Amino acid sequence: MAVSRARRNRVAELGAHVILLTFTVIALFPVILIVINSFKSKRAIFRDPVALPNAETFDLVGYTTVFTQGNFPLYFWNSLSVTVASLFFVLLFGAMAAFALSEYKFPFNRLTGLYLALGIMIPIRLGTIGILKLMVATGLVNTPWALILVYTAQGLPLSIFILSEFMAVVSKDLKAAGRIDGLSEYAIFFQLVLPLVRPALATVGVFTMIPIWNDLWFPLILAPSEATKTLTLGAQVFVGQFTNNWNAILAAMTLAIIPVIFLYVLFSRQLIRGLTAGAVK
Amino acid sequence: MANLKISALHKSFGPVKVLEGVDLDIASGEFLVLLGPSGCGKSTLLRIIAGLEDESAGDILLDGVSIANLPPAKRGIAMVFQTYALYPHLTVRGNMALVLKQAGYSKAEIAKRVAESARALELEDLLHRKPSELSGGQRQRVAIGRAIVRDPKVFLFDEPLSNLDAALRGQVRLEIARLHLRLTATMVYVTHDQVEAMTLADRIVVLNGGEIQQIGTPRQLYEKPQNQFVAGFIGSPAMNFLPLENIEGKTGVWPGGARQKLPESAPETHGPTILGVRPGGCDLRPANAGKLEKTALAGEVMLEEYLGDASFVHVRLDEGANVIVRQQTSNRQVPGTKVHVVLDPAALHLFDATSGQRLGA
Ligand SMILES: Nc1ncnc2c1ncn2[C@@H]1O[C@H](COP(=O)(O)OP(=O)(O)O)[C@@H](O)[C@H]1O
Ligand SMILES: [Mg+2]
Repeated sequence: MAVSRARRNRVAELGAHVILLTFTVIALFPVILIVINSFKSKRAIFRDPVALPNAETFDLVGYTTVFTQGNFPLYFWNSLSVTVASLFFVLLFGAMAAFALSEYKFPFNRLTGLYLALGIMIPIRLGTIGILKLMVATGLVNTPWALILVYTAQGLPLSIFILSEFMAVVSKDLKAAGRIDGLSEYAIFFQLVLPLVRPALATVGVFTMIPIWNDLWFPLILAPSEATKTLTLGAQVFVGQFTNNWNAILAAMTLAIIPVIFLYVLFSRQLIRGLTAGAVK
Repeated sequence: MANLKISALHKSFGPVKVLEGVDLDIASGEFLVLLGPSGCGKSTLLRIIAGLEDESAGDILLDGVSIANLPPAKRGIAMVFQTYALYPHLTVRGNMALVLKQAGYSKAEIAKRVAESARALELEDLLHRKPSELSGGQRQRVAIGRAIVRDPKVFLFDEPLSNLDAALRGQVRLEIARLHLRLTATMVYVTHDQVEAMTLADRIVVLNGGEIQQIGTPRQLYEKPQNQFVAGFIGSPAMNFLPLENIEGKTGVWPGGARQKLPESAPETHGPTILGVRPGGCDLRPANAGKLEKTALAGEVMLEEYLGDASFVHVRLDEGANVIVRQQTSNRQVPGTKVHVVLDPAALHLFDATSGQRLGA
């Protein structure tokens, strides 16, 4: 009886792994294709796109183009700084708003929460013209702040929505103990509550980061100058009306993956640490 | 050491009234227990005393001075929670030191006080550990340590033993009792467990539905419960309640017409009455012992709970009510046996059937 159950479990486990592996392969296939082809000569890319680079087809021309033409290290830095700054503000203000909504009682508390969450359903791009006018009026066009402000606004609704759910379940007694011991509300928020919702912060972080990093729309409209160009916008120089410089495009895309992976690893470690820390009980 | 006075305290959450006019006078150095079923507003009362929740109306005076408008940290109180509520990012030492740091004590003073409290609670070997590395009992001892370092005027405990298993519960309860003897501080202790209440309290306040039912020493509550709620809540197993048709000439009349002798203090006459009797105040007689129909209640043994030093016999009366009778273990009862239950007149409590208030002295 016990043996057969163990065997059935193993079969189920195997099945699960097969399904998961299939998914992984499907999801990773285009990424791997990009990476391996970025190291190949143009002719080799088209002759056999799925082949690994060998001595004959290996070519770094894509990377040399990327690093010599245009100002890619700068684009890279622009993307990274805009993403990290936006992420920081989304998490900070999102968590603060979520704490206020879940911790304090004030008139129209629920309504305010709903209003703030409304942005999840309304794409911010619908307001592009208004945003552009605003940025022109405030002189923020072609500065990183134009992007950071827009991305912060774009990320906040989901951030507030998810975090306030998590804040609501943080031990009431823990906050009470902090208040009795004379901690300020800021200390309670930063020292007691934030560390306990770290898994939620990591989740929100990942969800917020990807669309910002990949965005082409707002950099194109709000910050297209050479000094503020982001990576996605910068890579567009290789996309021509009639011909595309595939080597360069693939190399740029490969490079663009690296910081995202780095940030993801950072967040997922936080996520695991948050899950395993015993707080109360 | 300080006396705490609570007057006309009301609290409602929106339309829900949780406390309805609570008046309490807690003497300096007293150990007062707030006892009541879950959801009766005990924690709310404690949180209002601590300043964690605003009262809707009423006042709180500490040594004659109102503290109702002070923030929690300025009230001179310390609180111990059911969930321990230790700071997860700090060590045991850090947990105990935090409040002193916030209050601006010198490093040397903090070290001295933490060492003293740690010694008193035998936490010295644990000072460098994080809360996640402690057992439940140890965590609650740390929480108590965190409360005593600041030398508060009033200690508040909110069901501090409820998350501990039975063995640890006894141990920590003893710890708290010793603490009270040593510190002679004013303590307000919330629990729904009457054993905790009876063993720890100088006085017990029984709360139900946001109102005080009775205030008294454990002995007063057990021997002279003022109403049916207190009578049923204090004591385990609970008091048996049986309806009397009425009282005539200090004698109870059962619905079937049989008579029941009542205590001296019983009223001369009264309408519908609830008769209360603890399992120890009842006895069993064999059904054929003759002439019992007039004075005893006929029934059938349902089951016997053997506890070693005594057993509790559950009897189903012929009228339908259930009665629990305490018996010597030598007197074994077989389920299904027909028996008579006799009640000791001196052990009876009488309550008005409609108001539930105690009748007689
Ligand atoms: N913040 C709150 N908002 C609304 N209702 C509450 C709140 N806190 C407590 N209550 C209600 O008040 C009542 C008493 O709660 P509580 O004092 O925690 O009871 P106890 O500690 O005696 O079990 C309960 O019915 C509870 O639902
Ligand atoms: Mg409670």
